[in-house]
Amino acid sequence: MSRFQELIRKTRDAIQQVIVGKKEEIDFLLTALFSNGHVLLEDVPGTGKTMMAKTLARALGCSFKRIQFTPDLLPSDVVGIQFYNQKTGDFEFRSGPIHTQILLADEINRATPRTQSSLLESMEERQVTVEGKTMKLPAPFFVIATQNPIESQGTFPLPEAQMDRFLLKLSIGYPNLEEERTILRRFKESVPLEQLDTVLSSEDILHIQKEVSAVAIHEDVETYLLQIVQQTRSSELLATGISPRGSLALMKASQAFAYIQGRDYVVPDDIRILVPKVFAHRIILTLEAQMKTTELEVLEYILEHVAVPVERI
Amino acid sequence: MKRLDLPLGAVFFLFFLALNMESGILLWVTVTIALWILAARWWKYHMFQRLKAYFDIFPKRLFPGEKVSGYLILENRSFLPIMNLKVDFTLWGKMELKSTHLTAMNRKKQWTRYEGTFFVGPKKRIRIPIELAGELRGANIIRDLLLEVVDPFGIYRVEKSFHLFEEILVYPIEQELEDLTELNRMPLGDTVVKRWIQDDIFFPIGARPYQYGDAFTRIDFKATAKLQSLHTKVYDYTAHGDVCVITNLLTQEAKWMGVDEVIMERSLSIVTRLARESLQKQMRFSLFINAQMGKGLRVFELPAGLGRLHFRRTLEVLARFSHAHATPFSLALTQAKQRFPNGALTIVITPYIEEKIQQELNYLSLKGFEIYWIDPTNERPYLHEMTVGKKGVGLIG
Repeated sequence: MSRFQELIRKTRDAIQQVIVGKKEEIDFLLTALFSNGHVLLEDVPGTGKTMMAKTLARALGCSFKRIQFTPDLLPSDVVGIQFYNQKTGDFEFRSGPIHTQILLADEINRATPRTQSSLLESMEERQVTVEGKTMKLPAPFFVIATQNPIESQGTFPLPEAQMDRFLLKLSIGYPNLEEERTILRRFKESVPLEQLDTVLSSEDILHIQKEVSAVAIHEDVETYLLQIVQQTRSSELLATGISPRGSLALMKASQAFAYIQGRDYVVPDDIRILVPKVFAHRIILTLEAQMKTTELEVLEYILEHVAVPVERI
Repeated sequence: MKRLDLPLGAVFFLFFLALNMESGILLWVTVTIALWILAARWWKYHMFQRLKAYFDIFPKRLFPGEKVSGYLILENRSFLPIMNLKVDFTLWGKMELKSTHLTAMNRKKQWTRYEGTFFVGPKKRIRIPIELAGELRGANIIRDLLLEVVDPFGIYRVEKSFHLFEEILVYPIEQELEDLTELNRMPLGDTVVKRWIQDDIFFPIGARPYQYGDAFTRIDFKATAKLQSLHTKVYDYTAHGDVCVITNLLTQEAKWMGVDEVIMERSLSIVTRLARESLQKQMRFSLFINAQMGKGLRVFELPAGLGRLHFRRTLEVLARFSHAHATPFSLALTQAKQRFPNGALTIVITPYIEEKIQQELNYLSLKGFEIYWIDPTNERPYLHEMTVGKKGVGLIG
């Protein structure tokens, strides 16, 4: 475990050479990667979403592709297409940009629901089927989807049922004054991304994913997690609480998060930190509650009112 | 100058007296009293400071007629009990707070003061249940929580204040409106968006020459008349229609008649209904009120937005709206005109339309605004067509 811990530390440092600040967000991205999940980034343009994805791909030595979603994008533009090659007289498959290890799906909510589905289904199954032919996607397969805040014009919001394909929903936000000053200085003459070396390989990531699943979670911490989930199901403000898939997602994310912090066990703080990221996009407020509060406020209220397991010394 | 600690001063006096009189008993008593006072001081400056008080109320947004339950929480983090702890706070607004452990001591029009006395054991937290009922629109704020008690040693009277700001908003009632079919965003793919080219104001980009097979229902007759050839409307399915609401909330006449508050509440209720309709029909909603709310801002504006977060923001703005200095209604119309150079579906909420305003509205109508009027003084308000050229509505004068 210590060798991979060291590599993870170096990966974070390497990413920090390009991305200024945002340590928590980097940890969350790595959490999603090591728990074999995907990430939805919701943020305004220009906050570094593409740069973060590219930097992550570079540091991990993984192949990287980007899809810019537009209203006229077709599913075949994502997964690939069979086309007739006149020279050979045969049908050939031209793979789409989804056939990569790290995929940045930019502005996913600008595409029509049909095109969104083609990506989301592939994310879940880790394979694509084109005209009856099934192809496995490479491992590891990590999708970072971005979307502008939901109130923008000309968008097709992701349906709630599809949202839980994403392990985490994050927001990068603007840098503070000092961070922005560092960005200006760092990017003044060159792009640091070009000098970035690979730290972790694909095989290392697969090993880490196996080790993450072995991270211990104590019965009391498990009970704490389940109590939070139960509260979401019984809350009057929520039309839909967390499903068992959501509980599983939180458990896996907690294990990965603990691993990144250098532990082989999960503590309640890991759960508390991850609940807003893992659960906020999986719960649905009632119509009335939508006018009074937000998902994050409800989760915050639940966290404050569920007793944290403590160890008596 | 720092206040003199009288008990401690008295102890010093006794101490010097004991030394002078060389009295062992007096010295022993003095030392005992001194220790007692020092313990009280230690409690006052350390243990009492660890007392926490706060409210636990969720959610903090209500619809009229709803109630919310919460707690006043007192936490004693010291290892000594606190007896006869007096709690005092003020609730600003029209809301009523009910609790079996708190008493309303002082009721004024704008605020009510509540008081209660409690015992909090060592290392204990007590939760005092409270219930808040919101009947009337407005912002209600709980603040200035004051704790007062005599220390366990009976020497010092101490107090601690918490500068809270717990805001609980009661949204306006939604006014029932007849026939809102005019607020219409046609099914996905059919919203008409017309944009005018700068150099040729007569050619709308939202229309194209007629092609064989185009539906007759999509003929753009205005462009056809202007350009003398058949044109079809062009649709932009990614665009959303705009609903612009302009209110004349604070009229002098209403104030003289003493009905300004009634008209204001009714108008805000109508705005709430229109905002909800816009949300359901996925139209962008914006609001202009003829009220000066800040320095130099002569028209209160809620910029256009859509979605449920925007609707929530609208409700919060309407809940917080209170009496402000009235500005001419025409200023609100002018500002709306500037915000929507391509026009918008405009709803004017006003008890009356004077000639000057009618002319302004006629002008807006010719510029591409679809105008409707709602009279808030009607018992059953409805959308009244004002767009020139539509259904026999003509220019005034």
